[in-house]
Amino acid sequence: MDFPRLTPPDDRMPSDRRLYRRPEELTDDQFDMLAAAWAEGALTGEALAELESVMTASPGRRDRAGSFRNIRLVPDNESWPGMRSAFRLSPALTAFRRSAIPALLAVAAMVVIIIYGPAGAKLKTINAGRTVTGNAMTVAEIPASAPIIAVKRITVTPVQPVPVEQTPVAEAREEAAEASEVIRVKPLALTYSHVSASSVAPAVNPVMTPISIRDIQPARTLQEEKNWMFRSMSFLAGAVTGKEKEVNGYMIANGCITGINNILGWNMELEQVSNKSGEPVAVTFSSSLLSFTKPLNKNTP
Amino acid sequence: MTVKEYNNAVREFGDHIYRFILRSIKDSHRADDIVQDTYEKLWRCVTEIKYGAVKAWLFSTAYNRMIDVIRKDSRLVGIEYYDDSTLYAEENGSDLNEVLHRALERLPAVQRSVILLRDYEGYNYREIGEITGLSEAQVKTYIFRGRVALRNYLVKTSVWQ
Repeated sequence: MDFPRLTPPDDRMPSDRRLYRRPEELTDDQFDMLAAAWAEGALTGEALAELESVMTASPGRRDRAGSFRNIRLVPDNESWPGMRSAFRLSPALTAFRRSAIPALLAVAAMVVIIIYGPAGAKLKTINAGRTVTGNAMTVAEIPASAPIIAVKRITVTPVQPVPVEQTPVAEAREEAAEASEVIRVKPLALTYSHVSASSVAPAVNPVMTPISIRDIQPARTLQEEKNWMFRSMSFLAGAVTGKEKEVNGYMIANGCITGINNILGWNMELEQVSNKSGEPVAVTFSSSLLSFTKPLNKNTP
Repeated sequence: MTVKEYNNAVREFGDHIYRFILRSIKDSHRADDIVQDTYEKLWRCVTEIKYGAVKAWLFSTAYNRMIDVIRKDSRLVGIEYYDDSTLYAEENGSDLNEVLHRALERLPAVQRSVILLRDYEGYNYREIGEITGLSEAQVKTYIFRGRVALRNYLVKTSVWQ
């Protein structure tokens, strides 16, 4: 069964010619959009041809379109500050790091103990109140405690006294019994390359000609080297800050730990705990694996 | 992707993504957080992503994270909230690139992002569409409108006569 179908009449719009547009009739906004696309290289075919015809007809619009080519953002040199923390270690490196942590912590703890131990306290005493000079400190000026290398019972007679140098260390000797002599030698005296046997021998063997320990003037000793380093650090700290800066054991230990943190990206901390009057009373070490607090002696800097 | 490739991705693309996010939201702390989150996410699925696709993945993840942040933060507003009289002041004598970046800050976030991806990274429209979740036609429109807005800014601030 056929249904009736409508056939469109052949009606014509009487004024359709008025609706036609030429490319030159584009508004500025429309032209800008086309020009932006043109500057991006996104126009092809007829669209490109039309735009070019507009630009040919109007030099002003050509310049306007050309200006879009200069609108390009150039990145600055900002760098991501958190990049370092985003890196990951391989499993092998992670395992190594885990095994190395206890070892390095032990080293750090040793540094703290050494610096805060008796030797560190003495070095602090040496540095206090001194002005920095270029002269190396002589051996006898270092009142560090010396190891006892020998205890020999000797008889002291008026005929042949033992002229042992009176040093601050030697004061302790006065308390000893008359019949016994405690012979202390500076640590540097144990350096065989610098000290002859005669420098330590006189008190042990009274028959030999006694030589004062002041006579020993080694060119470079461990103790001298230590002092020089402390003075240098103190001098540099003063030069940087513009103030008299006293280097103490805490500063050095803290520097070591900061260095390890920087190199390995760890988070170890060393803090100095002070009492109400501002005097340090303890040192606290903390890390992800180990934490401890070490109280300071009264004479420890 | 191996751990080595992951670290390469940090080294090669970290700064690029950071710049893109920083220029989009103008907040260095937030930008840092977003990039950190992005790499954290990458690390969680490091074995599932091919190295060849990681750059687009990073940009896409960072962009989506940034959009989340922008939506939560009412302080970040587009050009439509600015008063023209204050918008176009004090630009005489400035470097063109600086002025362009200041003008960029006034654009809506999406426009800003697509222009940055286009100019900074040189992505094509399809790639930008994949990163931002827009169609290619939308990307083109945003870029062209963005360029017009930047040009208008330069003209109105007397940088261009």
